Amino acid sequence: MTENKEVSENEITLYLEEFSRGDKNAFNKLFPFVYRELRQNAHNLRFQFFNMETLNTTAIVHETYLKIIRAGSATYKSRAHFCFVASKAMRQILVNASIKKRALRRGGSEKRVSFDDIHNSVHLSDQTAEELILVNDALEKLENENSRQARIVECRFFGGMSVEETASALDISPATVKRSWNLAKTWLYTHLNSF
Amino acid sequence: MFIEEWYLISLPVSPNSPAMNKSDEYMNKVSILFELCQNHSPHKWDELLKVNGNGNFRMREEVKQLLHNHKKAGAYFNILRKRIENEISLSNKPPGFKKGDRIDRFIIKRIINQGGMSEIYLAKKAGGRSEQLAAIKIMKPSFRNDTYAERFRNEQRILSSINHPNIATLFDHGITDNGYPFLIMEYIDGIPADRFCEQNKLNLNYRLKLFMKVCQAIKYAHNNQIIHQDIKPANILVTDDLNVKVIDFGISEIIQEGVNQPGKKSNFSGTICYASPEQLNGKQLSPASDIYQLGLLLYKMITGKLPQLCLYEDYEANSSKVLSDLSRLLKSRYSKMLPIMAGADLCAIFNRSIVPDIRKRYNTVYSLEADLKHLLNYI
Ligand SMILES: Nc1ncnc2c1ncn2[C@@H]1O[C@H](COP(=O)(O)OP(=O)(O)OP(=O)(O)O)[C@@H](O)[C@H]1O
Repeated sequence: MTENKEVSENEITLYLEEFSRGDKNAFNKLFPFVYRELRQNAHNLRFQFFNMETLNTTAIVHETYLKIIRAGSATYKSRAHFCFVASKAMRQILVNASIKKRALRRGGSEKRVSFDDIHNSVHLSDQTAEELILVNDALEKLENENSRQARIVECRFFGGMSVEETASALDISPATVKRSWNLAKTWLYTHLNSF
Repeated sequence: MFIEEWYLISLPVSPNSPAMNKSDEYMNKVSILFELCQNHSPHKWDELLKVNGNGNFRMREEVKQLLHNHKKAGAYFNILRKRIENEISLSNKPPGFKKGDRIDRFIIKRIINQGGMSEIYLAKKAGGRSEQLAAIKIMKPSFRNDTYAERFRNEQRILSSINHPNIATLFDHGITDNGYPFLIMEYIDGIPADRFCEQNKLNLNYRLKLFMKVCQAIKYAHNNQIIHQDIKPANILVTDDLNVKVIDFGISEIIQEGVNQPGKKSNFSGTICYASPEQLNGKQLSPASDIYQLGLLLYKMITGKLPQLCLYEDYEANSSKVLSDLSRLLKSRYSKMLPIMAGADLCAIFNRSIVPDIRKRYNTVYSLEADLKHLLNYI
């Protein structure tokens, strides 16, 4: 794992700060790193969690955070921003695993995309994979209609973030998060099978 | 070495830049109306929408639909999250058996698939003269609890009591040395019905004939007092020689004639998209529930899509839209060969299969079949 740690803890904290001030570049630097850490962690954690309790995306995000940013060096706010990046990464991990699953099932590697070992870290059933692909398609559509709602879906559904964490990461009130999440999930559900 | 995958999804903007989308304003209005109505009881909705909808018909309809779906949406995402959790924590253990392992008189060749609670292996009989294949369904270690063990026993009980060419045959069952229940079944070298139809670009006639074979299996099950309860494309396998086999009787139930089971509610655990209204509402089930699922299966097999209808709480108020969708899809797919009447007839058959009011639904698979046969006579 250490070989991939080309980004130091200090850098991460710095990027998180820049990101919270609205710097897109910082996001682009953080994302691939968080993505890899998260996926690796999902893989490791499942053995740890096996038969004890359910491993959920919230746990993966939080464990990963603790692993990267040791002991209280970051604020609640930057933690929320980390979770936001991680939620996006988690969405991608789950969707990529679903696409991989579909490709495997259809037999044939018609796509020249390398998925390396993603199915080793995340193993989904056919049904869940298909539904995740549908949800992701609908979410892409929602992104065009209302990007803020789409971000709330990423935080709440994919990242398993609480209302408060989501509010803090997106700089909006908890009440707005609740309301938008309510509407967004209904909108998604309504559009699930329509394209 | 890691290979980058993250470019697959378009990268987003930072969380704080407002980045107004072109239709943000529209969505804003929708969300205000949605909330407004949620604070009032449903019988006031029409009035509220009329007064506050700015005369925008499309918006009013959209809000109405959202309001109807609201509860189901919550349930849907809760269940999906739960499933993801289960799968990423428990069920993603590597399969329990490897090539060459022995179960009963069979030797594992490879894993075929993992279901929610089980692993399915392709195996061949040990020492047989000719190669005799079987599919072995075995419970995942992580699902060793009473509920799932009961589901397994249930499937075994039901499969051993029936025998039909369109239902996967059970050869044997047992428990491994370390305590996992397994079922040894006929191996079906097939793919789900909807995918089979699409991949082979079948014409309508063929699709309907395949669907009729599913009907035969379900009719047979009903005659034996069995409700399948989980009819969906993934549980209908079609082989290259057009053989149709229904699988997965895990949540099926035997109905006891004349026995009213008060308080016994169905505890639905199948796929939400294919759930009948009775299943979603936890009501006691009758064969009509299977007929509803057959209706959805029919739609999926002939159009490649699911209808929007499972999203409407109030199907009857919206049925005309659902049916005109179907009619349009049929025309665009099969226009050249499709007599005008056939489209209308198919819509009527579909409608009678999925209407929420059980009294208006086909009351037997037999009557559904009869209508389809009639249709097949002239297309
Ligand atoms: N007899 C068989 N021959 C070939 N493949 C089979 C057979 N039985 C099952 N399969 C494959 O295994 C998959 C899962 O089987 P099944 O639905 O019976 O398992 P399950 O654990 O009850 O699934 P779930 O709980 O997700 O509905 C099927 O979708 C099919 O691809």
